[in-house]
Amino acid sequence: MAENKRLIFLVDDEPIQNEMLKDYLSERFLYDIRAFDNGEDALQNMHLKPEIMILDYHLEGSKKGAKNGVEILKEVKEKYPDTQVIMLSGQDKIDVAVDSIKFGAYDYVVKGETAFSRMENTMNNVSELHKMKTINTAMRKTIIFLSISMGIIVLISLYLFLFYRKPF
Amino acid sequence: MHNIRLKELQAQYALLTDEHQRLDTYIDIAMEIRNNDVDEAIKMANDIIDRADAIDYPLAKGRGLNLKGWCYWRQGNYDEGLTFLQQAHDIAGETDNLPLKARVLNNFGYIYRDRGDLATAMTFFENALALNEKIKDEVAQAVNLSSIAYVHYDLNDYENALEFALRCLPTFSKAKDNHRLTSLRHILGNIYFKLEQYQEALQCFEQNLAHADQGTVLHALSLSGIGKVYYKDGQSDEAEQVLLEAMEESEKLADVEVQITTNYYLGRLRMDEGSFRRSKNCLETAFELSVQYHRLHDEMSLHEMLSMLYDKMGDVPRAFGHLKDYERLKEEIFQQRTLNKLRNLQTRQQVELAKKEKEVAERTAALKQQFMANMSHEIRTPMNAIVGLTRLLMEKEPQPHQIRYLDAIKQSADNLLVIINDILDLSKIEAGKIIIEQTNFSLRRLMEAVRDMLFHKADEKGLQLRLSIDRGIPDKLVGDPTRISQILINLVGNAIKFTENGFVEFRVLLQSQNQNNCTLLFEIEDSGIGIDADYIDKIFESFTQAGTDTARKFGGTGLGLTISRQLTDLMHGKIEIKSTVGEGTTFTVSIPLGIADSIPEKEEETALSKKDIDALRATRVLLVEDNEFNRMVAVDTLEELLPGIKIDIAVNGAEAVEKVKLHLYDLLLMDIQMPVMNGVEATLIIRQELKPPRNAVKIIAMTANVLQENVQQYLDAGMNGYLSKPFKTEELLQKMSAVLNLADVAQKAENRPEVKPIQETFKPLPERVTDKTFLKQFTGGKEDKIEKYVGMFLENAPRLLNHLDEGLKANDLGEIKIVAHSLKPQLTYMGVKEAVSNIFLIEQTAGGAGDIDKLPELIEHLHLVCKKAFAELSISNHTDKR
Repeated sequence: MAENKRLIFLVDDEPIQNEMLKDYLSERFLYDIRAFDNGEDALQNMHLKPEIMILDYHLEGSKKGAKNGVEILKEVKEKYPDTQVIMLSGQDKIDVAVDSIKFGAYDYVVKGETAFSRMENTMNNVSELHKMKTINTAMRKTIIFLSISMGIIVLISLYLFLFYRKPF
Repeated sequence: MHNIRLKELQAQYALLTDEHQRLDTYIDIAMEIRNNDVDEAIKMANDIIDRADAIDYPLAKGRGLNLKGWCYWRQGNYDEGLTFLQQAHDIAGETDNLPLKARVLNNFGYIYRDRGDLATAMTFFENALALNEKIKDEVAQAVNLSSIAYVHYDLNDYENALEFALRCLPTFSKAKDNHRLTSLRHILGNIYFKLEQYQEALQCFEQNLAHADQGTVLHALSLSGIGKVYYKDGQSDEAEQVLLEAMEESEKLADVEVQITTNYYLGRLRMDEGSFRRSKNCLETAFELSVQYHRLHDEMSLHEMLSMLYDKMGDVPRAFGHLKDYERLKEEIFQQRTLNKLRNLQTRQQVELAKKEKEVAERTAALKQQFMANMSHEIRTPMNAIVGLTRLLMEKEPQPHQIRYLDAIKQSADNLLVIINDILDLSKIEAGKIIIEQTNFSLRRLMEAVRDMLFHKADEKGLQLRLSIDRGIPDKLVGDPTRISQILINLVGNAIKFTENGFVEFRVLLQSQNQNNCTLLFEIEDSGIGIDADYIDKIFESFTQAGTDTARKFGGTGLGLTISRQLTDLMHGKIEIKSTVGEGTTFTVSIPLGIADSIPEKEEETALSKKDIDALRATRVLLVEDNEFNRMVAVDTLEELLPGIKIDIAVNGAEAVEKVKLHLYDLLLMDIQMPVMNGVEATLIIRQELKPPRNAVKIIAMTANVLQENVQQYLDAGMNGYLSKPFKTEELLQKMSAVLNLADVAQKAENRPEVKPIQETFKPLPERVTDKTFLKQFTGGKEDKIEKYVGMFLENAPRLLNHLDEGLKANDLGEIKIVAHSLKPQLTYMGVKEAVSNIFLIEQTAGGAGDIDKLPELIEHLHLVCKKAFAELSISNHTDKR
């Protein structure tokens, strides 16, 4: 079922932001999109193995005591390193960007009118990366398979050669 | 041709009267004459030596001996030549005259080369070259290069020989040194000849022939060269004719080289013709000459030829003998050549190694410099906070025991600062960063300032501090008053420190004076503990006091004397010391100074007038500083000194630029090292990218960097002044008043409407605050979606506004910041511009980057904006629904 459907998590405490981004992305990508208004809920659902998580930097706006984006990012990267995280932030501050990248985010996008098109670009890059990774894994598997089969063939032929040789 | 120079010299010689100059010119004449008439040159050389002895002029004698040595070399008297050259070399060493030494070495090289000891010759030439490189004499270098080319030629290494010879060609052409040019052309001709480029060779020899007078060595040499080329070219008749002419000339001139060459080629010519007897005569003559004069190279070639000749004549044993000798010599020379090549490689390696070492040294020095600058910054930043906060605490009416502690903190901090400054000063001097100024100053004012500064210290110890200035000393002087007083403060302070009772006296005496300059003698005498004779020599070294126990007893870094001595050296002065243990010490500093016509009027450095203070209180200041504690110090200090002053804060350069765009400030106090954007960058942006009048705001750098080059960098960036941290309050006020045009500020403050700031900051709201352009574009014009988003905004935003109010009520800045942060993108999507909503400003202000007092007004304004926005949006939503 949803096993082979690719999944995106949107995590932002601002419903309007989530909604707009969800609409925007669903028009352009063939992903399943799930929105969360806090990081904790998103973490609970990580077993669904989303390919991408778009995560707001400030998550404590509507709910007091909520974990902020960096904390969520750290946790995600620790437990589900395969999920690519794109950070969203309301301000263009270098330390936010540095923090995000330092803790393993794939990219960092500033909220605003241009955020949506930039997000689209970033998503394209991520899925490109994902594709490459998948291809790589597949190729690696193929190579291993081939080498094993070659090995078996060699072994069998050796066996045949050694034990079924007619004595002169 | 070259006689022009000779004539000039002779004319000059006739005019001169001073025997020294006459002798110099006479030597130059002899140097010209030696090229044509070696015998005459020897006579002149003897003359020179006698005359030089008579007036005790060793340099001329050395040159005379050198010339004589050269002449003997030309004549083939190598041993005698060497003797004279050795004498000349000794004199060059005694008089320490590098040009003469280089010339003598080069001449040594000639002799060894002719004798076939090419390795030794090469060493001499190279040493001479090194000397000439040191004294940067291009022509002399070219002479050495051409000599080296000769050696390479002798080693049959023609490629290298050509390279060296061509390298010195332009130098000689430029110097119009005809004699050298012709000899160079001759060797070039020989090289081309060996490389079998006969056309070029012929050209060289013919050019030389055209320049040479008949009956000169050069003429003969050129002829022999041309003969060689003709011979190789197969033009036997022409060759014979030219060679015979050359031989005749060379016999007259008794020139060995040409005689050997001509005989050699004539011999070969005749051997080719088949007239062996005549050939044998020629070759044997040449052979005898070459043996007689130890010309190894020629000897080798002649052995070869003779063996061929005797072979042809059927005299096998003789032919074999010559062949063996030929092989032996060839081997010898070949060996030398290999050795030489090896040595070349070695030299190259050494050069590379030296280059690398130099690079490393330079890098280390730069690193050290950087380290010192950083260290000074790292230490001074917290020191600023310590000193400043201590001062502020002192003014908060502390209790008596607290005063004692605060005093101790202040004292310790001051001591630490002195030490840091000492270390910095020393490293600056060592890095050559201190530039001695030449300004006009008043000596008496300087001395009195030093006395006033140290009087208190002496008084505390119960010492008498006496000052006396010699009456005859002009008061207006030119020099570096800062450095002079630094030296005096060091020395007098030192004297006070090491004197338990009695007196410290400092005097200024006049040592010498002429119209524009005078040398002053500063004497500092004390009745202190004195310095042991063993230590006297060491006390100027870094970190040395008279014994380690002294350091423990009296404290300090022991750098003061080192710095004083270095500074004195920089001013071309001298510092001396006399001391008796138990009786006292006297330091004597003599410094040469200029005498000035006038000195600048004494600047009013005392407290600023009340009017000025009032004017300063009306200024609007933006403080740009990243360190929280230093911000605290600066704000509190300013508010204490100038109550009513308006201070805004930015925590980095980028913020400062934004603030300057928004508000008109009178003054920026700018820290230099800050994250995001440093002070220099911010200044550049303000000065270059902002429009007047904002780009003209006054900027004072507040920095812990105190290296002179850094300060220059700040001023170059467009800053108006600088203040070194930790700063003194008076200094801050003075810098501020110096930079600001106070009358202007007062005026501006009056004109500045004292209305509610809300009207100052906020423009009236535009007709519409919202704009759906973005939403339409985003949804592709789908009304239902626009409606959905607007609906969400209408639902969500009032909630956030409530949060904002609650945050304000609870004074929870963090909450305000976060809510503003959330609201910001939403407002943008609805088309509410920052200029209208100020939401970004609210976020920043709540983040501590602005005037927190303004927050209520800002939020109130936001409510107004949002109310209007809600109204606009809900109307349109309704309309759309219908």
